[in-house]
Amino acid sequence: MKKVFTIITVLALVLTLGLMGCGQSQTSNQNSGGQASGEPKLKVGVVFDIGGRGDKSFNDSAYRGLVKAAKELGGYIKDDPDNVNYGTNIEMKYLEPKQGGSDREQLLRKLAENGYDLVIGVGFAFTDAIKNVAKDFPNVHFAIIDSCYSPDEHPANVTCLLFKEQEGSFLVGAIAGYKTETNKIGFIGGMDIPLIRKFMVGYEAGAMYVNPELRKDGAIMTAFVSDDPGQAWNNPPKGKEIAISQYDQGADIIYHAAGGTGMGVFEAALEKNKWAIGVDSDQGLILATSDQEKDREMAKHIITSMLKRVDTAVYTIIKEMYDNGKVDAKVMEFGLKENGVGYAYNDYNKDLLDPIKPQVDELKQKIINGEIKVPATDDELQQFKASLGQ
Amino acid sequence: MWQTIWFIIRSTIISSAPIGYAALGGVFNERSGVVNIALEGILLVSSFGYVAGAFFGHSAWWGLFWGIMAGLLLSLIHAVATVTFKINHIVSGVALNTIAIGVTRMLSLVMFGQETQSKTNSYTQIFGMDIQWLVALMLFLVIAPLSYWLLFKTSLGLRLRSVGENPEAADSLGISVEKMRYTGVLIGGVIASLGGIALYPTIWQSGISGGRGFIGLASMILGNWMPIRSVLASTMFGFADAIRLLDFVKAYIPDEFLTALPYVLVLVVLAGLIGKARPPRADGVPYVRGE
Repeated sequence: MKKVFTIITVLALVLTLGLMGCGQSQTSNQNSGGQASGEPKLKVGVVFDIGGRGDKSFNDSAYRGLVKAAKELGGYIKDDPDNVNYGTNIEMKYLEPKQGGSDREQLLRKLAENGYDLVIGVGFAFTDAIKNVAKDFPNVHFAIIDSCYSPDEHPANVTCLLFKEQEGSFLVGAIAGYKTETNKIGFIGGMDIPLIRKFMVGYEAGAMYVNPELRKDGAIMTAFVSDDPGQAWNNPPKGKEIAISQYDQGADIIYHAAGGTGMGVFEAALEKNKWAIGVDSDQGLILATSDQEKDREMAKHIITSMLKRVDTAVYTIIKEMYDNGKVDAKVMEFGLKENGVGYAYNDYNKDLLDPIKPQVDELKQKIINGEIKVPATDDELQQFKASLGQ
Repeated sequence: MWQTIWFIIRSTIISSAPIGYAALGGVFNERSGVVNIALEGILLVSSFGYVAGAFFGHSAWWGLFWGIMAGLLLSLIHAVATVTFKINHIVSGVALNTIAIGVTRMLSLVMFGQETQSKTNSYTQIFGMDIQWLVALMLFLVIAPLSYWLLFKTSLGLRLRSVGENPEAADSLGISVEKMRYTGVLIGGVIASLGGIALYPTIWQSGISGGRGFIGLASMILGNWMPIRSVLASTMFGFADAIRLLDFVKAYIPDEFLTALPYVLVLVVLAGLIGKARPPRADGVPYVRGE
């Protein structure tokens, strides 16, 4: 009896491994078929953060940057299910960390070892990993999104790509302030960290600026999903519950900055027939053009999205590397002025936004001119609120 | 007022259902003498099974079928490893949790073209009702009482418990220890799979189970390996999650306190301060005849 079991188990194992092998050889065939001959002039490696490709948000925005670089500069994305291929000038490859993200540093190292000239870490969680790997590969250039180092610790081969999320959030906050009928709005952040607070504070400031009712205590509800990075960004069940609690308590618009968890917020908006605001990508447009009916239903409840043009940042750094052969150890900040953040205006939400678009664009101009200084921390928000009066 | 009360009830039920199902699955496993920390993996694969099954089968029924099949398959591997091959139960559980993460990501890449999340599944209704709500409600109205009846009022339940308490005695009375343990692990697996289905039928994401399987194990201990008490223990976690979202609660009780409270209670119970945690005597001990 035992022998039979052993044989079956061994057979099953052999079969599984064999099948996996087949799968692998198939994909590699496909890709070698898709690539033309010739060595690429530049090799760019990217490591996405938890959430990964298909999050319809942060990482997908970074992915679009790669696609843009492929299109404009003539390159291809290696091992990509969509076979993005516009030439052989640049080879691009992306990797995704495993659940929990403990292998971020290994993945960066793997890319650096395999001859990639520019390695990009997508997300603040790469702060330490990039620093460690950059030290060991002085000839490889690195870029990190959403994080940076103090000047005396800044490695010579790392570029920081930062965003003024508070400026874009200010505009969507203003849209929420104009559009709310209950004079109560909500915010759901993934984790309570300074980066996410920038989204929250900017949103609150924008809402308070245009709508005095929202300056009252308790008019803007805020919540964070989790203190555990493993449960903050990919927890749509909890996102949905938090959103329902805010809608039930009177909010009619909720802005989320919680990655994949945001899908739960949209579903709650659909169920409760209320509004939601997307983040990073133009989530309304992505969902409205999806081939899934439920996505399109949810899209009807997305008023706008705060655009964080990770794609612009990724494209900019790749282009710089491609043109100059190097990037400098510097900090690049993308705000409204640089078109690095903004709000989504598309065919699907233009009827909603058209009545208030002039005012919102005026605010945008004021921020660019420096007439409005958007707060980025809680202390700055308190000052901002005081300057508005009651 | 009523709306708030209704929110608390509804949210508690929804948030605690996956934990409660995992706890109940754990009860069946451990009552038969098998420690199963792969409950976390079962939640993950069954939630993937539901989304993929419903997405490609265009029906929530296919989702239910594949969700349960996925959980059942993982349980079967655990049963083969621990009961037939007498591998250490924790080792098998850890391995299965890791396999669950890897296999779901691989399948997601193959089926949906993206590794870390599925596409959105539109088929979440059964009999015109939301399946998440239906399955969650079933736990409290049907599955938990039924489990109690099965474990404590039928001869199958008696046999199942006997191999968890004293396999030698059960064996000497002609009860097949192996068969009973297989039964316990597989029934537990089906129940835990329902937890994965109640987790989030709309979309699957890598890591979506978020430790709920382990919290289920904690609920099981808090419930002293009793079916109904374990399910009630799981509602503590859901309740704490629900009320911490309310503004008027936030104003008076610190958020951290509410989040930590159920875990503190588990520790208190384990330390023997309230009641006494008593696992089945042969829990986690492989049975080899004649030793």
